[in-house]
Parts: sequence; structure tokens; C-alpha cells
Amino acid sequence: MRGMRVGVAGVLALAVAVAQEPKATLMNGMEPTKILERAYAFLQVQPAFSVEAVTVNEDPYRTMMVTEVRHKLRIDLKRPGTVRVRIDGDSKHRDYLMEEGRFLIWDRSTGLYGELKTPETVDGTLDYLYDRFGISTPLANLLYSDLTERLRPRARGVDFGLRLLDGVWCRYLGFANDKKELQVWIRAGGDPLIQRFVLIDKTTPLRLHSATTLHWLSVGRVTGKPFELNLPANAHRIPIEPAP
Amino acid sequence: MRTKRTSGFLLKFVIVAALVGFFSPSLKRIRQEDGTPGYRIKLFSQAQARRGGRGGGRSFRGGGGRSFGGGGMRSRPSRSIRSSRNYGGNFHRAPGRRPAASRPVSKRPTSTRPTKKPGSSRPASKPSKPSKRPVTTRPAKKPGTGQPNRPAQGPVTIQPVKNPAAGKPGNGNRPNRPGQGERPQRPGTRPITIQPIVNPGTGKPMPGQPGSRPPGQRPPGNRPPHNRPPHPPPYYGHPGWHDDWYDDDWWVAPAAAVTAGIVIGSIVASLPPSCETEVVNGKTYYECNGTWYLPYYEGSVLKYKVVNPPR
Repeated sequence: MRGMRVGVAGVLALAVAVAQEPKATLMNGMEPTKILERAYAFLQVQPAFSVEAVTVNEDPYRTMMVTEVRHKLRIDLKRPGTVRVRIDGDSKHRDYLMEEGRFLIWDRSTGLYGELKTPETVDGTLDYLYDRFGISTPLANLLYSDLTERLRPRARGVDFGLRLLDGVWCRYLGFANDKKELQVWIRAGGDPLIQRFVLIDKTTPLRLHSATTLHWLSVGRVTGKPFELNLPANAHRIPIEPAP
Repeated sequence: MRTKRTSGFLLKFVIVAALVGFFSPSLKRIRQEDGTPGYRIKLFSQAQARRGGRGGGRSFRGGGGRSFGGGGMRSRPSRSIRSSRNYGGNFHRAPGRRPAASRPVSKRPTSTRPTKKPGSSRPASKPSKPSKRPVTTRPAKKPGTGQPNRPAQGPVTIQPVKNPAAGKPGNGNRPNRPGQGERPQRPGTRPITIQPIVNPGTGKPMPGQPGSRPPGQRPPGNRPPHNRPPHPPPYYGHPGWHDDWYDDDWWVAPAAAVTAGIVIGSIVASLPPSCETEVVNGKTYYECNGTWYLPYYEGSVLKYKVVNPPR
């Protein structure tokens, strides 16, 4: 009986989603690059947001095969300078905190953390960490406040049409050059939020894939107190050195 | 006139009789396995069956590509397809038919060059280039194939080869396939001298070489490093449009080598089990079976440096 209810609910949800298909959105007829820029422009002006993501990355094992690495993330951002990233998955149990001039990385599995002084803005901190220490903040492309300038698409792109992704109608776009491919799903109706993206690295013989699916919790604000990070008493501070 | 007609008739009769006899099924009385008499019908004569391309038989070597058999009714079902080295294709070579003067492994003659030029400090012999054709120590056949080995093929000398890619992670360190190298030497073959392939970096035999640690007995956490992809180019100025989507930080260095003889200053990505945390002079150390490690973040990757015991 319960299974039947679930099935009926699923059918109804699908029917509602189909009925709400945005047949005449503003994105119809737009060039893929414009749609992507529109998504960037929307996101970069948000004063805050919270999003969950599931990332699946491929890790090459020599040149013979790839292994899969899966992580779940939660990102809370509040401009101008506060970001919290929580990561849990196959290889990491980490916290990143950028809080107005302070960067903290905490490995929860070992209790080891490191701290740095950084610029006070999110953009400055991300750049500082990457340039000085080689630290790539996960999903940094959602965090910058000038995405339209930094990530302006160079390729013309392809619009694969509408796709229903987790009950949300999205524009499915593809961009490719000789090195990489980006496929991105952007909400077709309402706010043009990026719902999913796939990257394919064509420079590697195994053509590594990286897929990220996003679940937006809130846009324009954060809920709760996501930036409170209390280190346990047995946490140990260790140095952070630049990556070679 | 009549003689000609008669002779023509006889000629036709002979031809037809020969054809009928040739294609007619033959009935042969045989004794079955349980001892009872039986009969076997054959469509072709034995000669024709042979002419059909070494057809059929137990080993499926018949003359017809990979079609199993192809030799007519004399083909019997194989006991094991894998027992045959060749699945047909008319390439079967009877054992012992290969001429004794077979191709040598190395055509390069032994160098007669002097080992050192007078007045020159340069080593006389260049380091061996990586051969385009890999020197293999693979036995002639897989174990258990049941196929007899080839006869002796003259002197075989495998020169010691240094791995040019040694030291690079993940290059050519593949151990030999299991189950090889246990083939007993056939009578009549010359002894083969195989010197271990040596890693020039460590001086130790490469995996799978004589003297190396057998595969599958690495201590836990001692995996060979992956081929980590190159770090993406700097974000600025790169003409790409999505480089930072790609968080290569996921490519976590796997558990690094924790070898028996740990060198002070070496860096590992994970610790052996059963370590204790020690804080000395405000620094955090791990002490694992007498070896001290200093943890640190290299970028966002957690690493451990082997250090002297702190005082």
C-alpha cells in the first residue's frame, strides 16, 4: 500500500513537472554562451547562498583504468569574505573556512588543521590560496564575484535542449575545445542556477570525467550559523606549505 | 566407330564410377568404447578429408579461419578449445618442424668497441637506450596449455636492462603476470641467463624481477603512486573557460611508499598503522614504530615528512 502511494506520488510529481515545462522561457533561442553568462551573472551578484553538491571524479590508475572518487559537499557563502566548505567522501573529510582574512583547513579524520592569513574578500582569498599555496578550493567557480569576466566562454557551444534533472527543467549545454569539454545544465525557468556540470579532460588518454550535481538550499541568504567552526580540543595545528 | 563409342562409354563409366566412389559414404565397422560393435559413416575418403585443410581433428586447427574444424566429418568435437594454441587458420605447425636456425632474440652483435677511450672520462658504453621492442621474459606459452614447447632456438642472451622510466610513478613497474617463469626447462634447450632488471634510482631489482619482492606482499599502504595528471595551468590568462571547474585537488596522492628503510626527509602521504601523536616544542609529531613523522599541508594535501626524533 505504501509502495503504491509512493508510486502515485512519483507519477504526480512527474506530471506536475511536465506540466510546468517552460516552453517559452527567456532562454529559448538564446545562444549557449549567453545562457551560461546569464547563469554566471546571476550567481556572482548573490550576497549569500547555500548549496549542496555531489561530485564524482575519476582518478587514473596508471594508464590502464580509472577509479571513481565521490564526495558530498556543502558550501555556504556570504560576501564579501566568508565561505565554509564541508567535504565528506571517499578520500576526504575536510572543512575549509575563509572568514575575513583568515583561512583554515581542517582534516576531520586526523584532527590536523592549518591556518593562514589571507585577503579579506572571497575572490582575493581564492586567488591567494591558489597562487601562493596551490590550494584549489572545491567548486571555486561558484564562488567568485566576477564569473562573467573570468569564465567567459570562448567556444560557441551547443544547446542540446531541455532536460528534466531531478524534477527541474534545465537547458543542457555543451562547450568543447581541443582540451576539455564542459557540459552544463542550467535551470530553464526561474533563476538560472547551474544544476549540474560535467567536465571531460581530453588531454589525458583516459579522458577523465568529473561530474557535479548541485542542490541549491538557499540563494540570497544562508540559513542557520554555517560559519561557526569549533575545533575539538585534540585538534593539532600544523603548517601549510606551498605545493610544488 | 563402335570401338570409339565403347571406349567413350568406358571413359564415362570410369569417370562416373570414380566420382561416385569418391563421394559415396563409406561405412566402417568400429568397436565402441564399451566394447560393442558399431558403425561409422564417412562421406569423404580419408585422402579428401586430409585435403580439406588439415581439417578438424581434436584441436580445431582446420583450414578455415577460426571456424572450428572445417575438415569434414572426420572432425570430432574438441575436448578443450583452449588446449589448442591455434584456433584454426591453417597456421598450425607440427611440433619439431620449425627449423633449428630460428630467429635469435638479439640481432645486435656483441660490441667490440673498447670500453674506454684513452684520455676520455666519458663512459665508453652509452647507457642502453630503451628498446622499441621490449625484452620479454615471458615464457613461450601460458601454463597449462598442454602444447609442447618449441625446440631449441640457439643461444639466447637477455641483456640486463635498466628501466629508463624508473623513478617516474607508474611507469613500467608492472610486475610479471602471475604463473610465469615456472616452466621446467625443456631438454635440449640452452640455458637462458636472465639478469634482473634494475631500477637505476634505487639499485634494487624491478618488481617481478629476480630478487625483488614478490607481488602481493607489499606492506599495507605501500601502493605505487598513481599517474597524477598535471596540475592545471594557472587560472589567470588562460584562454580556457572552465579551468577552475576542475578541482584537481581530488586527485589525492595515494598511500605513499612506506618502505622498510625509511630515509630521513622522505615524504609519505599516509602513516602506517598504530602511530602515536606527540607534541614536542609546540609541534605535532607522529611516532610509528620508532619512526617520527612531521605532518604538514602541502597545499591542501596532507603529507608526512620523516624526521629525526625531536629533542
